[in-house]
Amino acid sequence: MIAPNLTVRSIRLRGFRGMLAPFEVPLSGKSASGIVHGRNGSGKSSITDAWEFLHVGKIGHLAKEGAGPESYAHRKALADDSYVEIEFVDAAMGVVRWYTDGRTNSKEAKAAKKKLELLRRHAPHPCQIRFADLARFVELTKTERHDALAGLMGFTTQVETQKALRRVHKSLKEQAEAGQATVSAIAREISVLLGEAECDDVRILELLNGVFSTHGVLLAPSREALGPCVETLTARLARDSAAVALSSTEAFHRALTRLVVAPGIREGVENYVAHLLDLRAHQATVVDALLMTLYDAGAATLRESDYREDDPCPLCGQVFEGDLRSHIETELDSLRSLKQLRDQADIQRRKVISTLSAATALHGALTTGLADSAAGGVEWSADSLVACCGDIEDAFDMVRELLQRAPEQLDDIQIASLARLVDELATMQGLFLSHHGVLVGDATQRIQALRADTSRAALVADHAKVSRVVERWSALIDARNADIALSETTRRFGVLVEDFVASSIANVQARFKLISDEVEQYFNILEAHTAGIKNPALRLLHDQDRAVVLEVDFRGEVISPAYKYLSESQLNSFGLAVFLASARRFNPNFRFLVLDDVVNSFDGQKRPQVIKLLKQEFAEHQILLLTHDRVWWAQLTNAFRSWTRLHIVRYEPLTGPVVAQGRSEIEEIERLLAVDDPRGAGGLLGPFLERELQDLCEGFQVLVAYNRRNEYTLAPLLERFRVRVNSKLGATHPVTIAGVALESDLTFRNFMAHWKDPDNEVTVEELSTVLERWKALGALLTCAELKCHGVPEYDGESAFVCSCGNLVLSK
Amino acid sequence: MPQVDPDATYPAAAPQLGENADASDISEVGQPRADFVEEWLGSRASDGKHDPALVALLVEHRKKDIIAEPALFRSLGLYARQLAVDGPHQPTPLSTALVETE
Repeated sequence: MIAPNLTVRSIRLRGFRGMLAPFEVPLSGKSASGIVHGRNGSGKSSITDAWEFLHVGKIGHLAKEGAGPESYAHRKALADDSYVEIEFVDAAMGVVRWYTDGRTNSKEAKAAKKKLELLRRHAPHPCQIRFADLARFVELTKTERHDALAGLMGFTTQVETQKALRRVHKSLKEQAEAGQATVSAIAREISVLLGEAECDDVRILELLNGVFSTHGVLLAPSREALGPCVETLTARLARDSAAVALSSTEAFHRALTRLVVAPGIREGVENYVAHLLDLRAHQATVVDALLMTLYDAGAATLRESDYREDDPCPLCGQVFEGDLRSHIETELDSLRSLKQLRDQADIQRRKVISTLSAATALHGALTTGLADSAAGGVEWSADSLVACCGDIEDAFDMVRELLQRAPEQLDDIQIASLARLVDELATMQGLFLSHHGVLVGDATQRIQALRADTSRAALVADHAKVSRVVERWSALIDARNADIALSETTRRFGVLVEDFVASSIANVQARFKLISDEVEQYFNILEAHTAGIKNPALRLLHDQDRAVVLEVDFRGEVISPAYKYLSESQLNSFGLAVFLASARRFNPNFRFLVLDDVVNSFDGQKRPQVIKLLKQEFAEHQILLLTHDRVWWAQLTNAFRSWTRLHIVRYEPLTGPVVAQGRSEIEEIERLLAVDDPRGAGGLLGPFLERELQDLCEGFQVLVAYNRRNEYTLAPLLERFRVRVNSKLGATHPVTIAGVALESDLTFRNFMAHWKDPDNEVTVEELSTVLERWKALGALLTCAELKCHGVPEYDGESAFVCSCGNLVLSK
Repeated sequence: MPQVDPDATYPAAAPQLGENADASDISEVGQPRADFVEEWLGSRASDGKHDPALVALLVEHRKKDIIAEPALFRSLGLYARQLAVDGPHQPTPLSTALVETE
């Protein structure tokens, strides 16, 4: 099969996340790459989210919050208007539209699904990275860093599988341990019944045969042959009606002694009512309680999300003017004491729920005991106790129902009901004790009378013991078999899990090895200005499932872990290098990258290195770069002149981002001049020329006289630049001539001298002249190659050469 | 109940992937790369070292790239019950039934 051309022509969103109206990121032009600029909260990240949704089927950072695709649609979007769409250059791929509801019921949706599957097969590795992904890289444990690397390198699925298998295996082991505990408990129970400290199967059979021998019953040769022996003993007991009555009475007596009203419930409810009354006394209005819950949920959501200032509020979707986090904390502070009272009440509520759930069903246990006893021919007068047990359980049910509500949700009537139930329970418990005592006394008297015949009493006791031991022995055998099977299942599954983990670790190690050269190369480019640090490496710790350490060469010494020496920004460089190397290596058939605000921790010296890296190593890639930083935007638009540029002017809550064509600095200056705004144009042109000249002087290694203010403005920079090119290129070189022309031009000289003076009036014509002159010089110094970056640099001998080597300025 | 033989092996053998992973396992220019977990499960289905029924259970419970943990745990409980009946000396070729039952 011939691989399709997966060059992306356009990404479109509608009714997705914060974007209600259709929004398009066109990626046309020679490089088919683009830059999007917009303030925080303007909707940029929805583009990254959209791409991730299309590529992976979910948005990772939202999935961690439990939000799946069902929550991706804009609140006001109809199902048919909530989708992400990608248009490929390849006509066979065409347009792929994927709805947030994941529909596959139409012909179009089925075709889209197939195309997406094709895309995912050709692009198995993540294409997108956000600053948050890099930031996570900084303060992480070895295990967390392993998982962060999984995201950067695209092996999250196998890591998640590994974790899931480990968890299931752990649960299995716990269940197997519980099974062993059950076996031990039953064995102990049998030993106690037989009056031995410990007994194995042989000893159990021996002791049971001892009992049979006492009563003249034939002995059993094995456990399987016990049935007839027990039946013989039972038949002997059944022939004596008094013995049957004794057996039934004793069984009922045992049932009665187990019949206890669960302790602590009434006291627990009483305590809870006291908490509720305290809470109500401090709560001014019902609104207090509602606000407390709302702010509490809001604070928790912000704590767990990547919320940044200027992002829309995660609860209402509106942009909050000011610091939302601090606002919510302040509001919560004012409700803090109320919240403490509420939390204490809630703890008490949960305690009572827990006690209630463990309480025995009194009514059911008593009626079953009575029925069993009646079957043995023994009747009891227990109507009062039965009724009392029913009343207590009805009261417990009412308490349970009221406890379903949170403390702040109970009204005064419901609190009064709880208080009344506390009183009623006290009365009922008193009655229960009274009726229960009478019945226990009656049963005890009857047992004593029936035990007058000692041989009969011995028969009844031995029959009860034998029956119970035989029943428990059977349970012991079942528990043992289940335990063996579960242990074997656990062992087999454990072997499988260990095998998977070992394979996964080997696979991850192989991935590290595959990208190690590129990681080193990219890191060294990004950190070219950092002396002494080079050769980063990733090392997997083999003694742990998921642990990785970063290593770096610091002045000839290998430092492990590297974060001992690396700053936050250097660790971010490491993370970015890993992501880029992985994307390049593992997505060889889909060269597409989304870089969302990745330079946030990089200073002015390092950012041009990012441009260098992208130009030098990723010239064949399609790149979508998102940023909120105006200075970085200006650098990017200057460096990537053929890229599509989109500027998000503002975010409209009802529709989404409002966009304008993104302009480079020169284009913006030209626009201002065209609309007769010399003040605005001059305000941009001055800093622009200053930065351009500083870059040129650095590249040409121009010597400039030191000044204490550490400011090198237009005039001295231009003058020394002209001297430098004259000295190295000669007076007749076009660059020297252009430099001389610029310096000798009266308009240019005036602008250089006075552009910072606010009272200086410069005309549109004068500024146009300055700009055109500068562009003429710039054209001589710019290489036409796309992969070329920065200004030409002095080669140390006699020429100035651009980064790709195509432009050589020499005599 | 027969005793457990910890050295028991399972029939059939297949090439393995993972411990000898190299570049060719991971990607090859021009060829889309298969999912590691999927490949691994495929290689273990009949390698003779694991009960194919257990591997099949994992395949069944690996929906949408993730393991459905509670369901897998329940199925392993059913697998153990089946093992208690059949004895642990044989593979248990009942994966579908185990999955469907839960």
